[in-house]
Amino acid sequence: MRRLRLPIAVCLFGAFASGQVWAAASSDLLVRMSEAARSVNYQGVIVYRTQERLETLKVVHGVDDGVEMERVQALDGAPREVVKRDGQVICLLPKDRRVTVDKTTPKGLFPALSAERVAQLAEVYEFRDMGSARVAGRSCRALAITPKDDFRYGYQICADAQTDVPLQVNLVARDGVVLEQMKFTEVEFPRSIPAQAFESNLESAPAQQAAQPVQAARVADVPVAGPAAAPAPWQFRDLPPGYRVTMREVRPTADGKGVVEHVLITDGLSAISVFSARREAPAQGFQGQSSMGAMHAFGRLLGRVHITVVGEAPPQTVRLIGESLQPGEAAPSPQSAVAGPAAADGDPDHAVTGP
Amino acid sequence: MAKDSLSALLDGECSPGELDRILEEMDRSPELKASWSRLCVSRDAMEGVHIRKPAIDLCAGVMAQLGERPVSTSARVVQLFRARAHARSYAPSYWKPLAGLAAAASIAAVALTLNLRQDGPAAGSGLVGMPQIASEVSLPAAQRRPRYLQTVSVDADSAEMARRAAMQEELRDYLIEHSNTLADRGMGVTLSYARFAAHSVGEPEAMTISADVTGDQP
Repeated sequence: MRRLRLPIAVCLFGAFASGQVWAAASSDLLVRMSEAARSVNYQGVIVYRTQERLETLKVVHGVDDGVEMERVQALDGAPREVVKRDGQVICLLPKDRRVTVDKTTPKGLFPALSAERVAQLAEVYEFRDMGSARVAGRSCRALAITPKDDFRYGYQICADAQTDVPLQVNLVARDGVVLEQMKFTEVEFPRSIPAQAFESNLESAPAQQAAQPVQAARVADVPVAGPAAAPAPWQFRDLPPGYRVTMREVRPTADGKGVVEHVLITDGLSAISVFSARREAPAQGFQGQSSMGAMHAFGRLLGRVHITVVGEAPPQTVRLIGESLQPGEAAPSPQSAVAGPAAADGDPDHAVTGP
Repeated sequence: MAKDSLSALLDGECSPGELDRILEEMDRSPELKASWSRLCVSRDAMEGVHIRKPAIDLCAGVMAQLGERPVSTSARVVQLFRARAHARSYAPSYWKPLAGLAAAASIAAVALTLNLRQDGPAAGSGLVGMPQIASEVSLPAAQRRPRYLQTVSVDADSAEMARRAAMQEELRDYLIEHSNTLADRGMGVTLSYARFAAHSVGEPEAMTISADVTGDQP
């Protein structure tokens, strides 16, 4: 019996080691893919599918002096575009409507994936190398990111073998059912993309301003419930496991008659935004649950404050977060929140985790 | 020409006038009705191979309504109210319109939340053993109604419509803003933008108010 101990131990160690190597390879792929998705020039045609929709879109993504630019253009049906450039996101909608989000995404909301960060993700997700695949005529490596609970969705990603750019992303439920799919049908990776490629032909439509941040807060200022929490606008009574607050900012509402606080909650992959709008007139916002693809929304009124929670997560998670939001002692008022410099800070080290 | 109209109907691009004409033609022409069925089947085949679908097929629901439509009925609103009665048997209680927003009832009646099964996870039912994810890939509640029928309504007053349009716009803006924050996530923002562009057909729409919202109301 003693003779068998060593071989068994060797086998167990080998299995453990190979598992570690496998996990490391998967996380390494995720890290490289994360970087490539932001830094590589690519253009092509994608298909977006849900159970109810099949859309073909043209995509152009480029980086100019470290600044990302993107243009997504619907090829069928009513003309629609989303253009990101010059710190703006411009949405060109049917019936000549145009919405401009005049704000850049604060850096660090989803910090660059490191081995440590992936290890944190591994607490709530399981990574699995799915081997080779072929998408849009190109060789890919496939990775499955499966949630360990029902508070988040998972992903199946095929990344280009040469550039690591994700060519196919499936959003999947915990049971593996695909809820949403984005897939390139043709793609190329030009060395450079002319600026004209990010100019829309539809931009003559009158602009409507959607969001402009005025005041942003350090994540360290975002409170959680508990005796140690400082008095602050809003408190989360409860957050699902793994989720933490990484950003808080305050800006005027689009109609200028109030202020809205935007809090971003993420587990590193899934992200949920909580918008708390306070107006001088009684709030009359969306209430209940709604969805757009796999993006879910939940709205409720809390006194005069209208809460809207939006996220690429199961509706129960979105609702749970919306219902866990409680007023603090000093909710923002229209007078108090329209001054102050924008200073978004998404330093993950300052992230506050819910109880 | 008729088939072109059916394609437009399938894409939700019919004008109210065209919709009237197509519905009348379908009543008269079994062939046209069969073509419509084939188009529905083709669409479903394209979309439904791997991606979860609702248990109740939209096209089947529409066809059922067309089949039930009384020949003598000229007002489609009557038909839609009947259809809504069907929908009630599917809808869980939490999709009931909120009290105090009864002014929207006429819209809700037309809003074919009706044909589409709203068997999503019971809101507030907790997370253990829940996900009925079939409804998780779904349109905003108002968009659940077939787009080609949404123009059939609407006897609500303009103030209510304006309020709902504003509500819709606010939710849309939040979706854009949230999508933008995903740009830095690591899988790129393409999926988020593609999702938004894909679901922006037919804007603007009024948002159907649904669900019983629990929680403190200080």
